[in-house]
Parts: sequence; structure tokens; C-alpha cells
Amino acid sequence: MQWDKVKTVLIAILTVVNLFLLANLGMQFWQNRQREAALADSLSDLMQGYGLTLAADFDLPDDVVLPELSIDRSRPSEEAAAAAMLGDGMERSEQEDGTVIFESARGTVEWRADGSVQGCVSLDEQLPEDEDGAYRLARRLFSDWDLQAERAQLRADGLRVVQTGVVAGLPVFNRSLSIRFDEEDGAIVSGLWSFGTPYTTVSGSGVTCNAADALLEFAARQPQAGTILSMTVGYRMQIDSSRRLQLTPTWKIVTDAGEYLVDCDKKTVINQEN
Amino acid sequence: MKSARRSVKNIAKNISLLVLVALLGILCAANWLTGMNIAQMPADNLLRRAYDHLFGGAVGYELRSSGVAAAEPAQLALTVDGQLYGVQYNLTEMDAGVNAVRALWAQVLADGALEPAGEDALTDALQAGDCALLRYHGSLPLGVIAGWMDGNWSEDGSLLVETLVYTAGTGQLFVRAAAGTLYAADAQASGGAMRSAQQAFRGLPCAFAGGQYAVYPETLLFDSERLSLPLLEPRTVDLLSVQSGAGLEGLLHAFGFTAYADFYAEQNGAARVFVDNVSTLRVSAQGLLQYASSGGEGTVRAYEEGEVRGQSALEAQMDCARLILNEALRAGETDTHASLYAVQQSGEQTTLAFMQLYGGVPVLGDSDFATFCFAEDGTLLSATIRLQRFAAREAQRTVLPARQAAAGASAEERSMMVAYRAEDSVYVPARFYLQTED
Repeated sequence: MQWDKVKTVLIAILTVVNLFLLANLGMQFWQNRQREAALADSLSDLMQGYGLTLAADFDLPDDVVLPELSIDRSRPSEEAAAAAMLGDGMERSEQEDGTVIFESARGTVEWRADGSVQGCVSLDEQLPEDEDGAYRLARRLFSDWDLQAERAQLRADGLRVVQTGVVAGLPVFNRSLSIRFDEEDGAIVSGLWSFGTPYTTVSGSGVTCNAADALLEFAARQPQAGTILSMTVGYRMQIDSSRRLQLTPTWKIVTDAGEYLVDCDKKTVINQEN
Repeated sequence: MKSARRSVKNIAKNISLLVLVALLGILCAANWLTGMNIAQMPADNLLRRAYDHLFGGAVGYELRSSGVAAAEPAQLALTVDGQLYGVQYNLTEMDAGVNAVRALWAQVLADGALEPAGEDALTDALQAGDCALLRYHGSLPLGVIAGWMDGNWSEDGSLLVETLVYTAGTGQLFVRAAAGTLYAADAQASGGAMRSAQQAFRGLPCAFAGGQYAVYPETLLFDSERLSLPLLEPRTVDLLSVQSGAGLEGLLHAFGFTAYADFYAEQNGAARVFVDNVSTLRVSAQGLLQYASSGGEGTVRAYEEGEVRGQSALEAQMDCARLILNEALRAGETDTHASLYAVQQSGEQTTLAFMQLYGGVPVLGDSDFATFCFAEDGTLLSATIRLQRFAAREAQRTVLPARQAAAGASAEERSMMVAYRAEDSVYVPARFYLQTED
């Protein structure tokens, strides 16, 4: 009988404590929602002040903290890809600035220290005549040349096919490879690419990517855009002054006037891809 | 009947208690987690990794114990098919060389007990089989070098070393310490790592000086060496010009200031002093940057107090200094690189000294190119950077080959380096002897 009463009291206490915790949690969620709604309203007003509007389906992304990542240049991977493109008899030469040039009877491939690649390779097979053919052949060539991307996306535009992918689970906005098929030159390869897994250090700090801050900074500097359609967080690849490849946290803002990149840390508008 | 009802009631109470206790745990955890800023946690925290997986953060990257090297090696060498090949004073070749031998050095630098060793032991070991050499422009902590090579050396990790030699024939690692003292430890790399490094490494034929000359036995002497380098003319740096706006903004940001920070002009506008409550940054248009913080506080911190200590703290300080230098070099639009060459830890302060490299060759001046002084709690106390721009003349100067220089070395001149030095307002490359106190 005594235990029965104790259990009843315990159930009552636990229920009260749980209700309090639940209310506390609910209050925090409610406050967050209120804050987000207020932020969206204020942001919309501020945007109008700059002559910009947010698209009806625009959703302000959550803030996220991303680590700054580094990628080691992989000369063996560059050489392996070049060998797959150029076949036997390939010769290698290296310039003072770190540019490595591979040449054979089939063409030329040039890898630069900043990750950019240029190449022109003659193909054994029949060149594609339409967009579908170009898409299929490019997909096979990227695979044969060991230039596949993680979660690769291929986009064909006539006889030009562009491959993009993700690094560390996020898009790298300026990292892409394109193949253009040409009657005279065969396959023309160009783009910015990296090999291997990116890394950071145990003591490396993250960069806070605040969507509202980036959007306001963008609005203050890019008055030519009219409507903000969407924004996505990711990385952009760049070389630092020590010639190391860096992945820097970056917002991509899509507007009716084009796509823009905004540095998450410095809040500067990087470039414009119309 | 009554007993059965009581039993059901009892079971219901027991189940309710269990559910309520479980719910209490979940709600406590949820309240605790919502109060935490998980996104700001270190990248090696399991909670942070789980959060990133669930909420769209970065995933699938490596965590390394040490970051990007703050120092460029001066020389690298590796035996391939019985012949020693080396690279020196060239950033491009050095980058490729380091990538080729990193996995080998990661295995060699896997901790060990260093003991004082004799020069004869090194000379004999150099002739005993395949060797690998790694030499820096100055003396750096062994543990830090190991970290840059993906290795780990905790015992004697603070020993300042300039040259590391791995002799596969005797299974030893020799290190040349700052004062010229030689230490050795047992070390072993797998045959596979050695073969991979040998396949990827490219260099010019060379040999160790051994016991033939007065210089250290591990000194590299290149066959038919012809190191021709352009003369350098100093060019004007203008950090305060309108065109340098973005660069200056980045520089201010690196020192923890915003583009809207308060400043006053000095020297008729040739310098600006940016100030906030705790620190001051003086930017001279000609490239001299001087930062100082007051009272142990500052706008730049390598890490939060108590977050890291020991070698991790030193590595974080190096990373912090390296990132600031990157911004400074970018702002000055110089085509030079910074390389750490000295680390001094005294009391509660650490001083890091950097030299500037032009194409991999040190450019020496009357003062250090850059110095950073950190407090034990990670605060940057002071920093000085002297940015310079250079233009290469068409005229080139051939540096005295190491073999000839080694032949002319005296007993005190046991080490050599190639560097640019100012002569009549032009920077001229030459080979210098470094005197060592034996």
C-alpha cells in the first residue's frame, strides 16, 4: 500500500517536471519561430528599401557553421587522368608556376596549380551529333578518365556537357568540368577541378554562414538585381597565397539577373555568373 | 477480483513510471541540446559530426592533427634505384616532392627515443642503403614537422631541428638540432611506402657530402649544379591606394577589425592607425604593418583559453599567423611566400619568425620579414610584417655550386644556404655559410 502511494506521488512529480520541460522546449521553439518570422518580415522590408523583392517561394536558409577546408593538389591523380585521356607515349613537362603539361599524339592536357584544367583530345569514336549523344559520351568519358564527381550532375547544352558535384557533402559553386565536342578538335576539356578528400585541422575553427547578413550585404552592393529567387550554402574553391587549394564557405544567391557568390566570412560579393 | 484490479493498476503505474522517466531523460537531453551551440563545437566532436550529418553541414572531410605547413622545406632528397635525387629552392618542385614523400615521412616520424649520435654514425648510415632527407630554412619543433608530414612525434617534440635524415639501411632517423647537435632514433618505414615515394619523386642527381668536406655529412651536393636566379628589384607597395581596397579590407578582417573601424592618419596620410578598445593596427602605405594589443586582450586569438595546450596550442598559433600572412601578402599583391623559420618559447609567450621566399629562395633583410608574439592564452600580443614587392630583372646570377662551396668551407662553416640579400638597392642571390657553435 505504501509503495502504491509512493508510485502515485512519483508519477505526479515526474508528470509536473516533464510538463515543465515540455513547456520550456515548446517556448523555445515558439520564440525561435517568432524570431524567424520577425526576421523574414524585417528582411523583406529592408530588401524593398534596396529595391529588391523576395520571391514568393523564397525560404531563408538556416544559419550554419562550416569549416574552412583544404585540399592537397594531387599530381599523381592529374597524371593518371591525363594518361587516360592521352594514351601511350605521353610526355610531361612542368613550368615554374606549377603548371603541368601533358602531351601526346592524341592531344594536350594542362593542369594548373589553382586546379584549372584545359585539354584538347582527339577521340577514337564517332563524335556525337545531338545533345543526348553528347550527354551519354561525356558521362562515359568522365568515367573512363577517372574524373567522376561525388553525386555528379551532368547538364548538356548542345554539344557541351558540364559536370558538377559535391565535396564534403556540399556544392562547390565554381568547381565544374566541361567537355565540348568539336568536329576539328575532338573533345575540348576545361574547368576547375580537385582530387581527393578535403581536410581541416582539429584546432581549425568554423565560419558562421548567416543567411540574413549575407543577403543584406548582397542587397547593399548589387542594386541591379530585382528579385531574389533562392540562396544556397556551399563552398568555392580558391588558391591562397601559399598556393594551397582552399574551400571557403560561400553563399550562392540566385536572382532574376543572375547568380552571385557571397563570402560567408567576409560578406563580400565575390563574382557574378550571369 | 479486487486483487486482479489492483494488479492491473500496479502494472499501469509501473509502465507510467518507466515512460515518464524515459520522457524525462529525452526532455532533459532536448533542453540541454537546444541550449548548446553545437555548430560552434570543434570539428572532432562526435556531437558536432552527428549534427552536421542531420542538419546539412559539411561531412566526409578528414580531420588532421596539424594543418597546412607554415614552413616550406629548403631541400628534399630521396634515393631512387641506388642514386640520390634531390630538389631545392623551388616552390613548385618542393610542393611535388613533399606530396611524393609525405607518406614515407609519416611512417618514419612515428615517435621514438632520440639519443645523441656521432657524425661518424651518420656518415656510415648514409652509405648503408636508401636515404631520405628533409631540410628546412630554420630550426622548427620536431613534433610540428611530424604533424605537417601526417606523422606524430610527442617525445622530444619541442626539440628544434633543421634537418631530418632517414637511413633505411640502418633503420634510423637522424635529426640535426638548432645548435648543430646530432640525435638519432630507431625508425622504420615499410617497403611499400618507400617504393611509392620512389615512384613519385622527381629530382636532380646529387650526393651527400659525407666525410669529404668540413660541412655536415648530410649536406646535399648536386651534380653539375647550375642554380641561376634573377636579380630582384624592389617595387613600391601601396596598401592604401584605392585599388587595394578589397585587399586592405581583408587585411583588417584578418586582424579582427572591420572596414568601418576608427582610424587616424599619420605622416601626411602615408600611414593609417586603426584602433579599437583593446588593439591597434598601424598600416603604412609602403607595406609596414604593426599590430599591438593591450593588457592581454586582443582582437585576434589563435584559440580560446584552455581549449588546447602544448603542441596543439603552438600549431594553432602557427595556423593563425599563417592565415594573417596570407591576407597580408594578398593585400600587398606581392609574389612572395612566407615561411616559418624560428620558434621561440619563453615563459608565457611564443614568438614566431617568418622569412619571405621568392620562388622558394629566401629574401633576407636587416629585420625579420614577419614576427608574431602570442600569449599562452592564445591572444596575439603583437605582430610586425614588412611587405615587399619585387620585380625580376632579366639578368641572372649563377650561385656558387654547393660542391665548390663545401670544398672551401672552414671548420666553423658547417652549413650553407642560398638567399637573396640587398646590394646597392638590388637583391642578389648568393650562397652563404652558416656558422655553427660546436
